[in-house]
Amino acid sequence: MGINVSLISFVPATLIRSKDVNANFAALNAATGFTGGVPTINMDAGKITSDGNGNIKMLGRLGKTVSADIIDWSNSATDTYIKAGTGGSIQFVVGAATSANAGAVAKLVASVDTTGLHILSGGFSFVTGSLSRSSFFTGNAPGSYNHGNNGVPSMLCPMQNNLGTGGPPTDCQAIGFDSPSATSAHITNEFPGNPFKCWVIAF
Amino acid sequence: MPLGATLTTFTPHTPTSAATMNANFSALNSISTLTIPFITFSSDNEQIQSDGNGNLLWSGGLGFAGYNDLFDGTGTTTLIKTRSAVTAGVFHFQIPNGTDVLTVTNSGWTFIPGSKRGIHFTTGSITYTSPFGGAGSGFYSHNLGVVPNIVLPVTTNQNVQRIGYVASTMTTTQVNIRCDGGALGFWGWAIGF
Repeated sequence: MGINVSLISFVPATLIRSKDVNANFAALNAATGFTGGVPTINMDAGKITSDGNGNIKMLGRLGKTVSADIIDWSNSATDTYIKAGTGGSIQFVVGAATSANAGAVAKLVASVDTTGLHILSGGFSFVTGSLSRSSFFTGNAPGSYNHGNNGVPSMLCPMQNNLGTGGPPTDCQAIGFDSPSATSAHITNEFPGNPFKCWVIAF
Repeated sequence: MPLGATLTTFTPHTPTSAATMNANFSALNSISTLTIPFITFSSDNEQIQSDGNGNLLWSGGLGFAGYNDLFDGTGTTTLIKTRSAVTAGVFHFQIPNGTDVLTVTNSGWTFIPGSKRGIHFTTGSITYTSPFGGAGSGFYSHNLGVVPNIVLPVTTNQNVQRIGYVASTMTTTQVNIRCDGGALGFWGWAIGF
């Protein structure tokens, strides 16, 4: 710990030579690194400080390549900016698998990239209700269809989208679903042959 | 970069004065700026540490006005906060630096237009959603901005009627709603995946 340079030790009752004194001073003065700690942080004219309890306060920004390319809260009086590099994503991990936290499993639960917000575990919870899966299929006759929802849906919304060449009720029909399973559901429409589209949702 | 204090060099066969010795120690002792780097860093009784690889470990919070008004990792739940402690403030998720993809305020989540951005679930996604309404068959503006993947019209009148839409003529602005009743009211939901 410390500056940790190599120093000449002076021996009692032995003449102290000027060159040894000079060498020690020079060695200390030429130190290139310090191993150790400080009681608290105080840097950048007090703009980065710690409170002695492991909390850091900084008026600037955090970056990897340049300041503020990761986190920036000094660009605005109210806003916080969280950033990733080109082609990257901002990921949200719950839990940490470390030696100090044995048994914990770090789980990537969500991420943000240029295509939006990815819910990678569970669902998206609104103030009321939630959505966790969404899929879509089409058809044109009564029957069982694979819905692609990867689970038992909470709701299927079949809707006729016929060509509109005939007048009502030829191109308007009653339609519904039954028997949803993890892979398929049965669609019943009033006029077989009329096309429909179906949105499948899991809450 | 070394410490760089100005030191007096002692000369052999020349008396070493106490003043000169003191001056050298004082020069080293009064360095106002530590120009040598920390090999690794520790502070606050090692509650803040670096590992020598550019990683920082700290047990407390990170703040601007207070010590944990931005990030608070002191508990098992990590809190990420905007600067304002009251109601204002926006989280900006930017990819790359300078380009908003998503913002979050106390009013909710907003995807920034510019490319197709939405919520991606473990299965499927939703990018566009728009409610609209009307009465009777006809062309209606769905306000989705793109050609919908599906439109869900539901009648709102007290009489049950068949209702649907015409997919083949849908545009980025309009959809043809068909119902077999008269000019009865409906609500519609246009969705884009």
